[in-house]
Amino acid sequence: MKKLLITLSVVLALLGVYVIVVGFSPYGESDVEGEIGVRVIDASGQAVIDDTLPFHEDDTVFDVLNRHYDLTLTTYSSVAGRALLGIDSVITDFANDFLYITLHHPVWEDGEIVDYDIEAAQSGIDGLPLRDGLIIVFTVTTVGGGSP
Amino acid sequence: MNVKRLILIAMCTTVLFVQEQMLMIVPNVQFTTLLIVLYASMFRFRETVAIVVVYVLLDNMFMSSFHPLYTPPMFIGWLTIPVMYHTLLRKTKREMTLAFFGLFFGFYYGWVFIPFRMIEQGVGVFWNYLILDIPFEIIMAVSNFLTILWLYRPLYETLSDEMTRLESENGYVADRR
Repeated sequence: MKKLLITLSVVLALLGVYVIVVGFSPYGESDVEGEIGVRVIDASGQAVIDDTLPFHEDDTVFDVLNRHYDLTLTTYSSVAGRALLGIDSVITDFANDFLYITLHHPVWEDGEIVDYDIEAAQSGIDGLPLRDGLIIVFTVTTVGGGSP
Repeated sequence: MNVKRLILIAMCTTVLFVQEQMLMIVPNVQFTTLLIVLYASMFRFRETVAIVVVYVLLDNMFMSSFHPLYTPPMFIGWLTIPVMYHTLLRKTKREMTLAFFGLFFGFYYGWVFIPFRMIEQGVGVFWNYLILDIPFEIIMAVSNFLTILWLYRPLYETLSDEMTRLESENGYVADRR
């Protein structure tokens, strides 16, 4: 009985911490509405997905992707948050290939995008920023093949 | 070390590796911590270290994940269990103490990777990694706590009975304190 009570107490306490951390973590949430571009390039170099998706206030990149595509996810110690293995029919296994993420940050001038700053993502999808005009490119990359 | 004991250690390592691969579909839910805690209390320190080293090497070979910034934190993380068991935990067999250690270990294992991610991606990744990984550390902590609290004792009794039976001819008796 004592063991059961301790189990319930610990699980409820950690569940509470989980809800607080997930619910109130501001990381990645957008303050505004806008649109992002999503491109998925398969192993042959073909763009199989090239969409522009709207997002709302308080959305995250994960929310937007999850609304429009079937996502295959897992976790690995080397990736903070969830690791994205696949989008719709483009599936990787993280052992032989993976989705290399690049972010194309828009450079705005007078309300128009004039250029993009391209950088490799430094985190998994849970850590990606959500900004108007951003293009996120997922490229299937073979392990050992280096950057695409 | 006799052959029977060597085979037993090899089988325990196999169980450790196979269960992790089978449970990979459920993020951060595994019996790895429970089993390493169990092995630490069943086997000698150097035998547990051997199990952990083989397990980490196998896991990295199977996942093609050998990397100077990924494999070392795995070694550090998992080897902490036998080290802590034989030092701070004073070889306790109390499942409640071990369960709370497992709970703490769920967070600790995630934190071990932070310095290596900072070397790889810069100091700025610290808060990002710390915050994003907390939900998954909580899942691992709960998983560790529940499995150790409820499964450690029956597994320990079964395994120690088997070990005593297996090695009785050689004069070995499992530590049942």
